Amino acid sequence: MIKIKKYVSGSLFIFFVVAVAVLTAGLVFYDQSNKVNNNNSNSATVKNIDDNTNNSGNVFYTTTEVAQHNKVSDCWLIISGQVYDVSSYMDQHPGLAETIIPSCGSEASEAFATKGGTSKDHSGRAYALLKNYLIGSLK
Amino acid sequence: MQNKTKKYLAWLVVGIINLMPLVFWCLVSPLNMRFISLTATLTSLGQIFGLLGMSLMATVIILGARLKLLEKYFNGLNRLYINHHLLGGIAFCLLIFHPLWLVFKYALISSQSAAFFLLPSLENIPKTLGGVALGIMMVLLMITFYTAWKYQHWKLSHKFLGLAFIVAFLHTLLIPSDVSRHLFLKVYLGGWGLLAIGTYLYRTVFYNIAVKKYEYTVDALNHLNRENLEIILKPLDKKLVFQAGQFAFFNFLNQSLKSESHPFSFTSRPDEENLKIVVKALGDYTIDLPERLKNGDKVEIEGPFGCFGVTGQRQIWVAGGIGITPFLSMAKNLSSDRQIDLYWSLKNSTEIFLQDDLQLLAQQNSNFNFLPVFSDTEGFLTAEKIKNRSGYLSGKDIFLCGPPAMMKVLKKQFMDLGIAKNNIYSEEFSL
Repeated sequence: MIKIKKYVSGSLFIFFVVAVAVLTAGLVFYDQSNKVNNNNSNSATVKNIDDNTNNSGNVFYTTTEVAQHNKVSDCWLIISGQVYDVSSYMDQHPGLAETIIPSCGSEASEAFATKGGTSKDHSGRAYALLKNYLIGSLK
Repeated sequence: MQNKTKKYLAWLVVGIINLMPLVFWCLVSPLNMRFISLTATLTSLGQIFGLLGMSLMATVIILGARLKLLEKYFNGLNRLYINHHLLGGIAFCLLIFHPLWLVFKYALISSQSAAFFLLPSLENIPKTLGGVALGIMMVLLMITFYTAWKYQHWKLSHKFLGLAFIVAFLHTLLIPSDVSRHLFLKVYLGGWGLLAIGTYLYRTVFYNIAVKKYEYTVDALNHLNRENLEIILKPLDKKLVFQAGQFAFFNFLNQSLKSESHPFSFTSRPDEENLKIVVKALGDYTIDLPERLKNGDKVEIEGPFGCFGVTGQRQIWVAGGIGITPFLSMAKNLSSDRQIDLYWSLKNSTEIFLQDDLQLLAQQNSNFNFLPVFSDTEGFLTAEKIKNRSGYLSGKDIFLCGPPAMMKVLKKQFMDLGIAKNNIYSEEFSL
């Protein structure tokens, strides 16, 4: 009986240490990135993450250009007139890479807003995360 | 020799049932893809721990439901509870790490996404359900492992783990995963989970109507000495059939007594019309029994349980204090060809009771020796002393029944003297 208690105690300890560490780090960076966003609203760089404008800088792509990036290792998506390079995100997608692949290189607004036809939109956090992959707008 | 075949069979079945989801998981996707990158590996670990933990938790609930069928295959109710405790702890560890692997996976992206994963949200109900289930489990299992609550309070708190399981069950079926994507896993885990939930409800919500109980009344009360009370019970309806050495759970229905059920060994012979038990005032329930229990009080009995049966030709019985009770029944039921030495460890002669039957038996049967040992005058009973008085130990089956500390010490002493674990039978009433 005593043996299993040791493992339970160890597991619980690790859990709480990790949880506290992650939540602290997450909140610290959340705070920082909010401040950074407010300071950079005048910048014209492509990776500018601004909630209120559709404009993502001055890089434009045609649908033909986007269509060339249609592989799992090189995947661009068109969502609401913006172009995103999600290549580095593929294996981190909770719905797995397979659900994104069909949209690679093409229009993905509806797929994104309905999670591939399940009529369930992505969360606010997912939208926020998506902005990290913005590379330009559709011409 | 204990019934090893049944035990191996039981563990084999448990192993197959719990590994099946994992086997299926390995088959539905190429394994190399599952571990192709750190992220994929962490995801896979999260899935493996979730599948195993979930399946095991269902198993644990079924093991804790006091099912007579399972008791046969696990060699006794006490062993069933020991395994429930062990597997429960393992399942808990698996389920703690199940979200942890995924937290690590998200931490690779950013500490922010990892933090968001940990926080419950209304936008992702399936994930939040998992978090709620784990949270309930943590609270209730920390109570189990780290507090010294009164038994009845702890028992009530422990029952709520069934609710945690129901929430976890919903999480398992709703969350987008291999389970939701493959009918086989959905049906398999869904079915196994429903079986566990059904067993849980049988034991809790439907206890009064579903679990079989025998109704008896108190026919006579004998105060054997200051601490020990003999209770003689008469059946109201069906008679409980048992084997010598077994026990049952008794719930005495008396206004002044708490409505709890407690286990007591039968001291009567199996063929007697009335049931007899002897109760020692050891805890906050039994201390009230001698004064408050009255003739005519009804009692509900759940049982019989126990695999403390008579096996080999030559046996050594070691009783400590009130632990004599199963042996009282076994002694009356003895066949004359068995060679038995019964040691009864007591503080002094004021503690002894019902010794007339045992002394008579020793006189009539040359194969039966009754050896009370008073620790005040002779010191504590040890395996060495027993070996010297009985002549030898090898080839004999040793039965122990008494306070947990005494059994633990004696068991170790016997094993140090070379007795195989399989030749030592003990009935633990606490984990």
